[in-house]
Amino acid sequence: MKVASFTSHGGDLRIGVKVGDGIADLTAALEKYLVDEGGTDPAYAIEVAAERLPNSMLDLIKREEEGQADLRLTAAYISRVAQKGKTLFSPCGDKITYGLEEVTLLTPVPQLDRRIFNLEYNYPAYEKVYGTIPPKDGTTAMFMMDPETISGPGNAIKWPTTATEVTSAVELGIIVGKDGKRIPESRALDHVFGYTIVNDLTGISILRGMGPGDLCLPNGFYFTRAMIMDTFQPVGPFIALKDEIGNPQALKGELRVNGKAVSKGNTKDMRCSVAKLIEFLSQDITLQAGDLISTGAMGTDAFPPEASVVVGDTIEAEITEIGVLRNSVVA
Amino acid sequence: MRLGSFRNHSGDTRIGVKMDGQMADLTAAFEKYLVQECGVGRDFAVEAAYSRMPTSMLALLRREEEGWADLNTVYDYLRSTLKKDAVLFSPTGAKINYGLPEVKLLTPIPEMYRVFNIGVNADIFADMEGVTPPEPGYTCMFKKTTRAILGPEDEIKWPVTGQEVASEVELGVIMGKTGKGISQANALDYVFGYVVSHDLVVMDVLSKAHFSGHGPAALPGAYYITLAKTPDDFQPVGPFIVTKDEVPDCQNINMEFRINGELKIKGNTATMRVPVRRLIEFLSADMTFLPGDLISSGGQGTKEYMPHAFPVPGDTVEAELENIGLLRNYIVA
Repeated sequence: MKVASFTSHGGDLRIGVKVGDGIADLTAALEKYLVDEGGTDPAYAIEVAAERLPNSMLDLIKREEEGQADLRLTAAYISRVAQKGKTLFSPCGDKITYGLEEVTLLTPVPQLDRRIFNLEYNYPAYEKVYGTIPPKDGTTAMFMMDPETISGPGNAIKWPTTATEVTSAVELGIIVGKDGKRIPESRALDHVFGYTIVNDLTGISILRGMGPGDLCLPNGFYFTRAMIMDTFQPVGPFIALKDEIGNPQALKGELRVNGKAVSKGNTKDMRCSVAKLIEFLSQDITLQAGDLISTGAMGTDAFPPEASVVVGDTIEAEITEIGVLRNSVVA
Repeated sequence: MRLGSFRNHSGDTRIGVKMDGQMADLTAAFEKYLVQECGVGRDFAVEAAYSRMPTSMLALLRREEEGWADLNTVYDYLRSTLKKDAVLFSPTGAKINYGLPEVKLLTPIPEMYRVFNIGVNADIFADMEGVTPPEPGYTCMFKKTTRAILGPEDEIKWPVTGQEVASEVELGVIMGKTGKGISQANALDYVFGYVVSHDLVVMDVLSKAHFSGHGPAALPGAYYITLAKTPDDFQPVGPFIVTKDEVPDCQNINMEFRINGELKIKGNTATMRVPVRRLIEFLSADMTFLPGDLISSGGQGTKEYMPHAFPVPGDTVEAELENIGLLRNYIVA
């Protein structure tokens, strides 16, 4: 199951599930299910649906297991009743099924009250290609971004004023689905809601050469500053729920600039796996449902993890089984 | 004005101003003002008070200039009506003034939205840790989770990732206005006020990674600075926000840090490598500041009283900034 946040012709924020080539409004679909299959009074159904599958993806994720059960139920129902070429409506008249061209997809969790943890140097290609000193075994570098850094599919990435060179990278994003602290690796995946695509941009010139030498420490001071710039982290378009992903450590990633593949990678090469990262981060930090953990730039020796981009470029970040995230860089 | 958030006798979170050793509920006072001074009907006054002087400090700060104007109005009103030994109530029966022991003070912005911490912002750090300092006008910035924010008198829980914890006392800057590309000259226009910020860090997470020293070996320390700084409860902030009009010079504030009453850190904001004005310019060049954002401007110290102190479980820790406040917390296992 793949879920997204979108706006339709009416301009309202909605959450949806991908059905065939289109998208189904989850709240409206649950309302129809409650009336048609549960015999619920329509006036009551609309209220219940808005509470169980709210139009805020963050609120839905915060319902943890119960929200996920409602998601599965509704997605199974809608894929059973949806027919190609026929538009469904809820009992109170809300449109349920849309063609993708009828909606604007937003970043899947557009709500601002959440945290973003960016991990770095989580692929061995960094050491080989750039000579970066790797983090200690079982650890990675971690920096926090802002909700304001996040942009959606199709949104413009704004060129910064304090960097002369900007790089882009494709990363697997984990959406946390359950609060937790000191989570052991063995139970870590229970805390995952799903996976998404992250394009992690960095004002790399602010770091001024991460290689050896006396200046490397001051550069390390500016990691957060170089990445936290407005619009510098497109995320989306869909979250693939974890049951959709067979093995999170066997996903291929590719970054294309103007159609040309510049970075390629596979999550099997991660230094710290998804489960290990959750254990590592949650030791003294409480992870919260809705948090985004971006697991580090994917790359290989031949297709390194960081690609330079300039104004006018179109960037596509793709991860198999999840989707493609497209953005352009503007002045 | 000294503004804080507090929990009242019925367990509600409210915002208040400290006056004459009392805490005055700003929302309830504004309601009374609207009825008594403006002739507004009671029911409407309650509604208007909650929207113009909301019980959430963040929501008030997000009102920017309009919130500031309303704050001044209600403050003037309180100054003319508040008396010692007389309890005032709003027209709908909400208590306005409390004795300080009657309320539980919270961190002034319990809904804290974003926290930007500044590191290595005193030359003394270079001496203390052998750290290569950032370039002039530049400094180290990392974020903490809002879960790290803690109120006065709250307990700081000992971490599991390390057994050596260091404390720093810092000037906290509370932003009051949305802005990007802010120049140094205008920077203080974007400040709402100042607060005491106590910044804790798990030193072993950094030192095991060779934070100090020169050359490539020093780099991995920077990888873990966020992780080391942002355990839950690792940043008490409070007890009051002192509005900037009461702080004549934010670059001349004495600071102290005490463990079980013993002086450990002494400093002054005059030794900040990158002063508040430049910090705002440096950070806002490509990032938008929002009202309610906290910038914790970095630890200060002297050769005799270094910027780091090392508390252990059982300790009472006090961070104090002259004319801003005293923030007390307890370290527990």
